[in-house]
Amino acid sequence: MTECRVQIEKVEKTFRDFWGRARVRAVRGVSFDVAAGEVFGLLGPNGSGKSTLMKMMLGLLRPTAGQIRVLGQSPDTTAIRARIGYMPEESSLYPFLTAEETLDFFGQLFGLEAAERARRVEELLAMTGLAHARCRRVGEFSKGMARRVCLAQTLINDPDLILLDEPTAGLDPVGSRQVKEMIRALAQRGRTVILSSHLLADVEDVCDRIAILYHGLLCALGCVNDLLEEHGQIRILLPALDPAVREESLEWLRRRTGAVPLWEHPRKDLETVFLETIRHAPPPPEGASGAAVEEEAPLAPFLKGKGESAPP
Amino acid sequence: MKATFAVVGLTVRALIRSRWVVVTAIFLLGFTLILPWMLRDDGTAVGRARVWIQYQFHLMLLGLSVATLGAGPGLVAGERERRHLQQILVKPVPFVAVWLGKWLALCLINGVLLLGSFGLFFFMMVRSFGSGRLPSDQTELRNRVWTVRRLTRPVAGTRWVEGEGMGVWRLEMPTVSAGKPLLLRARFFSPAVVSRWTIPGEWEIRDPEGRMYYYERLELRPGVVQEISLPAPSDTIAAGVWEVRYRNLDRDTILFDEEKSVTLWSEAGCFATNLLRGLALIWFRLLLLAAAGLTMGTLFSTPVAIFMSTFLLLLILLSGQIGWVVRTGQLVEPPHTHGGEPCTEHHSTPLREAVERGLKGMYRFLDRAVGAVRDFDPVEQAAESSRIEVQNLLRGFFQLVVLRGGILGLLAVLAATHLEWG
Ligand SMILES: Nc1ncnc2c1ncn2[C@@H]1O[C@H](COP(=O)(O)OP(=O)(O)OP(=O)(O)O)[C@@H](O)[C@H]1O
Ligand SMILES: [Mg+2]
Repeated sequence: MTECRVQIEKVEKTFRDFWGRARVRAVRGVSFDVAAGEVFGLLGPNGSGKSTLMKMMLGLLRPTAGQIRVLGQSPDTTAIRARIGYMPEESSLYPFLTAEETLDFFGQLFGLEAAERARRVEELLAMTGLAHARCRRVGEFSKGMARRVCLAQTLINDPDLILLDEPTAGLDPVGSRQVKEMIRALAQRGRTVILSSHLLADVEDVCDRIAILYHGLLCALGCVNDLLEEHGQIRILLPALDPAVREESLEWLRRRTGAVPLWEHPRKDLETVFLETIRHAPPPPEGASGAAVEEEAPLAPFLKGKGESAPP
Repeated sequence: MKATFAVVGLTVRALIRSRWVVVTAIFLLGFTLILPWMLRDDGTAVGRARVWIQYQFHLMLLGLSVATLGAGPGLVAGERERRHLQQILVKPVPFVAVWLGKWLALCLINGVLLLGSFGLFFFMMVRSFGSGRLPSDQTELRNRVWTVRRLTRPVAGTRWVEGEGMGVWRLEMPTVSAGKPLLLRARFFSPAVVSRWTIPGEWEIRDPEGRMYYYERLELRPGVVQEISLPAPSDTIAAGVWEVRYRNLDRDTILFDEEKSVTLWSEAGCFATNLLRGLALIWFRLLLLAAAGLTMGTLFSTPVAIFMSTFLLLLILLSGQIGWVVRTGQLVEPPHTHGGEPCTEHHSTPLREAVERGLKGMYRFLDRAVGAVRDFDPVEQAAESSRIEVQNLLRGFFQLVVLRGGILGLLAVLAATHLEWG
C-alpha cells in the first residue's frame, strides 16, 4: 500500500455554458490519493460530483484547477488508458452489436490478438453469466444484462486501475454479490479499484477507504472500519437461550457493569434470504433468456494473474 | 492501426444494421432499374445512350451524396450524444483513429454501392444497345458513344465569320492512327436562325502536311452542337498542327461559340474504362462529403451538423453560380434597361461598397472551397465519351480527397483535442 495509483490535488471543476459563463461548480478543491491494491469508494448524494471526478481521471473532462495524476501520468496520455478499465454509470453500449461482438470490439481497441481476444471474451461471458446470450444484440438486453456486458468490457484488458461508476446499480442481488466478490478478488491481486455507489451496504462490504462528497466538497475521507466503528459499545452473539437463563445472565451483567444491556433476535438480511431462495429454485426452463445465476462468482482465469488457479 | 480497423468494422456494422445500406441500395438500384423508362432523349440511339449515362451518373452522384451526408453527422455527433464515443475514447485510441475508421467505412460502403449500381446500369445498357438496332444506329453508336475520344481545342481561331467570309482554326493534334475515324464538333449562331433552319457552308480540313483530309459542303443548323463524322485515315498521321477552314456561304455574319467553337476528337481508349474513371471521380467526391459529414458531426450537435452538411451540398450544387460571380465580379446581373434607361439606379455609398467587398470575398472563399468539386465533375465527360485523363483523376484525388478531405480531418482532430466528452 505504498505506490500511488491516483493522485488528486486540489481539483476543481466548473462547467460553463456556451458563452463561457460559469454554471455549475461540480467539484471544489478535492484532494486524495489512492494506493495500489486499494478499493476506494466515492460516496455522496446525487450531483455531488462523483462521476465528474471519475471522468476527470479518464481525461474525458479537464479539471478547471488542480492536478490529477493517474498511474503516474497525466490523464490526457492516451497510452495509460491501456491499463485502465472504466464502467460508466450508463452502460452506453452499441445496441446493434451482440454481447460477444461488443467484447470483441473493445478487445480490438486494446490491440489484443484474435486468439487472446477470443479466450478473454469466452471467459468474461462465463464470468458474467451471459454465455447463453452471447449472440443476442445488446440493445435487446435488460438493464442488468447490459450492465453485466459493460462490466465485462471494463475488464477485457486486465486493467491495473478499475473505475466503476455505480457498478451494482441495476444488478440483481446475486449479480451484485458477485461483483463485490470480484472487486475483492481483483484488489487482492494488486488491482486498484475506485467505485462510486449509492448502495451503502455494498460500499461497506468492499471498500478499504471511502471519500464522501457533498456539493463537490470532500466532507469525509478515511478507512471504512475507522469510520464505522462505534467505540464504547460491544455486541455479544450467543445461540438462543432459555428465557430463564437469559434473564439471569442479563441480571448478572446489570449488577456487574451498572449499564442496562439490550437483547434481540438478530435478523437475516434480505440478501441472504434472496440467495437462499434462488439456491433452492427449480432449474431454469428450456430457452430461459435472463442472466444465469451461478453460486460461485468465477473470476475469469485471465484476471487471476500468472501461476494462480482459484480466487481465495 | 488495429483500433482504426476495429472502428471500420463497427461502423460498417452500424450502417448495415441501422438499415442505411439496404435503404440506400434499394433507392439506387431501384432508380437504376426504372431509369430507362424515365429518359427524355432526342429519339436517336446516340442521344438516348448519352442521356442515359448522364442521368445514371447524376443519380449515383446525388443519391449517394445525400445518403453520405445523412449518415456522417450521426456517426460522430449522434454517438457522442448517446455516449458511445466516450466508451471508445477511454481506451488507448486517439480521436484521429476513430475519425479515420469511420471515414474509411463510409468510403468502403460508398464504393460498393457505387460499383453495384454501376454494374447493373452497364449490364442494362449493353443489353439494350447490344442488339436489335439498325446497322446505321450501330455504326453511329460505335463511332460516337462506344469510342472514347480525346478533345483537341484550337490554339488559334476565328470567332466571327462574315457573310461569304472564311474562318480558320489551327489545332495541335496528337498522332492519329490509321483506320480510326475522327469527329469534328462545332457550334455557331446566326441572326438568321428565325427565318431559316440551316446555314450553308464549306468545311475543309488539312492534315499537318497540308494535304486535304476532308472537304464537304454542308447545311448546318445554328445554335446546336454539330457533330460531323470524318473518315478514318488510311495511314497513321503523325502529331502536328491541323487546319480547319469554314467558308460561310450565307449573307449574314455568324458567331462561333467561345467554348465549343471548333474541336476535333480523336480515338483514345475504351468506353468502359472511361466510365470507370468517371465513377472514380464520383467516388472521390463522396469521400470528401463523408469527411465533411464526420467533421460537422465532430464540431456540432446532430441537428446542426445535418443542417450544415445539407447546406454544404447545396453550395456544391450552386457552385456554378458562385463561380459565375467570381468570374464576372458581379453580385447580381446588371439591371435590365427599358428604352435605354436603367430601371433601377445604383447608388454607391461607402457602406454599400464595404458590404459588396465582403460579399465578394465570401464568394471567392466559397469558390475556392467548393469550386474544385465542380471542376472534377465527370458527368458531362462520361456522357460525351470524352476521355477522362489519368492526370485528371490524380489531380481530383489530390484536390478533393487529400487536400480538402485532409483539411476537414485535421479540423476535426484539432477540435476534438479541445473538446470535453462529459
Ligand atoms: N456536462 C455537464 N455539463 C454541465 N453540468 C454538468 C455536466 N456533467 C455534470 N454536471 C453537473 O455537475 C454536478 C455533478 O454531477 P455528477 O454527475 O458528477 O454527479 P454524481 O455525484 O455522479 O451524481 P449521481 O449520483 O446522480 O450520479 C451536477 O450538478 C451536474 O448537473
Ligand atoms: Mg454519477
